[in-house]
Amino acid sequence: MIRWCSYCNSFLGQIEPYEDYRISHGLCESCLQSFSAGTIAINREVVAFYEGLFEDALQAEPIGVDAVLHQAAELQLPRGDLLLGVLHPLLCRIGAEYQAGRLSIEQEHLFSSAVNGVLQFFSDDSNGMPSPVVLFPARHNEHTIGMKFVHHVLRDRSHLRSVVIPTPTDADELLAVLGGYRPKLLGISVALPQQVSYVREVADWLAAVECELRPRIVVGGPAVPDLVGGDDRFLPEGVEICDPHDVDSFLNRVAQLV
Amino acid sequence: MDPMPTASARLKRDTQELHNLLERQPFMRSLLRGQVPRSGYHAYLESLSILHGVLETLCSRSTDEAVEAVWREEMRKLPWLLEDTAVLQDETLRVATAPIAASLQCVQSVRKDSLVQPSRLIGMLYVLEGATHGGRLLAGPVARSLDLPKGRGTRYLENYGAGQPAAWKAFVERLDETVQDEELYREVLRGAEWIYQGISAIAASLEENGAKARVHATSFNPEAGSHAVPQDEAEIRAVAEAAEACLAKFPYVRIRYGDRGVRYTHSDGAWLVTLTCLPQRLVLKQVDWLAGLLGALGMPRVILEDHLRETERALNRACPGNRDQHGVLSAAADHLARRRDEALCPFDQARVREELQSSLPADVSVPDRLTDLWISMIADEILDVNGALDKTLLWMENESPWSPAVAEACRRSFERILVPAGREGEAP
Repeated sequence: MIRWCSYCNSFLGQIEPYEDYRISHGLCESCLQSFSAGTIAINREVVAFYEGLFEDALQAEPIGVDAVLHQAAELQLPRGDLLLGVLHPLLCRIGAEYQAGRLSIEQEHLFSSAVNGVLQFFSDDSNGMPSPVVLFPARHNEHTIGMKFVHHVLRDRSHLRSVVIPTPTDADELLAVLGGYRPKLLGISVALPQQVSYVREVADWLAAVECELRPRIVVGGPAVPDLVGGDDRFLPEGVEICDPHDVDSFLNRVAQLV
Repeated sequence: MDPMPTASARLKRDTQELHNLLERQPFMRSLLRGQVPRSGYHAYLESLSILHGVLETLCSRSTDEAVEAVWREEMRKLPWLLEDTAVLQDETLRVATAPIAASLQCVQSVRKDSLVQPSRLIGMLYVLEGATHGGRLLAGPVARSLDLPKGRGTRYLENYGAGQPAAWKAFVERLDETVQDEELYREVLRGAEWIYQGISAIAASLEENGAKARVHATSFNPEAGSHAVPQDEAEIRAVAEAAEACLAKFPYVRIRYGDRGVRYTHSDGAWLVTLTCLPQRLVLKQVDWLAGLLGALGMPRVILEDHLRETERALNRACPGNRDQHGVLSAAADHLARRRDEALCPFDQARVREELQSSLPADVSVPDRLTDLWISMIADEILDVNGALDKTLLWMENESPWSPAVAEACRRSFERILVPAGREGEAP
């Protein structure tokens, strides 16, 4: 479930059951300290905003970027909270609706397009500049929105520059990326476990790079919970994973690595 | 006073610049001069297949009045494109990566537009229908330069043949009659502009053709989007064998979903092969995901169960050295079968079977494998699929070629089983 602070409208992260994308309420650290006694007032505005967007998606109603930004501003949601606490879980929820046959692929595209519109509003031109973190999707992973979220959150919360690039398709392209951005970390997004074969390819390509220039690989994305569930070691040695449900741990780990 | 120009005349004028830009693209000029290599021509047709596949499906399903007024089923060009790509594929399905990516990018917007501004689809049709003029000029040079046998590999370019002027005239008449309002015209123009830009992006990427070629999901099915597929030729042949074996056992797929259902069976099969590199626990999760998705669309789990088994058999024949790896597929099929039996016990399955047989008149027989499909569909409904059963009954009653008695027998059997299981009051 998606947890928000009942008092100050701040996003608190996800809690189990992760496949339930409704909003649950809690108290953030600072509100908890100032809270003495009495009833916790559930702030219904975030829920109304979140559920309203979901309803629009279900009805195939076009979602205006300006309207989303306006409502988020009225609720005083920081950018990271809007991205991680509203738009990201809605994308997951809409994906689940598509799988259940309650929503078409066209409706899914319509919502993704609105989210991309919001991201374009936030866009910054960091392409071509040295960047300690380079994010890209594994081959056949068409989902890049999550990486764009990470890009903004890294900048806002960790003051780290990152860049989202298309999938490098061979060793030469990857070497060009390393030369251009000089990254310390490559973040590869995998949507399905089969795409891990691409991570192995990247690890092989990197093996030819001098040690001091070789970036670490961190794998993130919707397939990660599957990759850690069994006894089988499915990822190449040295590759780390990032739990998509625990953004704070990821940010801390990235800060350590870069 | 001059009469108001027609929509087609305005579209011609307002898109002239984009049309000229497209024609000046090096790839398009090479095509006209008959200087495009076979691989480049193949990639061009595959990219157009993606565009046509998506657009034609959206147009045929559209309930927008303007789109309905302009679209005709005989405008479909995907069958011609598939005919040509089958000729050009030779021994391999490998196609350049960049034009496929450009085409997939273009159809994302087409899909979105179909919901928000469906009238833009008309502008897209205008451009693609207009391409039938130039196509006929290209057919000769392409056939000569690639040494293609007469009438093979240029079906799309030849398009309507001698009937092209008449087909264009009829299209333009429908367009002009439908698009008379200024606001509607602006949206149609947006659609036309968008598709010109999309085809220009495809043509530009074809310049890089040959550098990076792979087998794509769209080679199996232009509407499949982008997902992992095998690259090994023996495995690719196994995909086709398994899909056809499964389709032969379940004619329902062809009857209900037509050629589109056949193509999806092939692209899904290609995806199933990629599962063989995964541990069993992950295969089950992926198969459950696909089973739920297909179930919601009216394809009960028993079809996927069979497809998994056929794929394993075909892979074992094609690549006997990897038998151990292929075993995950039949294990996943067993898993689906277990889930069905848990949802609907063998006793209840027998009741459905009996009910179906006994309630049909003597002169009506149960269509091929319908009993298995129906049992599986009921089990799916009990498990997690909502609504597919009702939609299938409606399809049986209104669209299927079967006797109405079949639909009635299915409805009765399902009420016998499901109403006591908790749907009391819902059944009519």
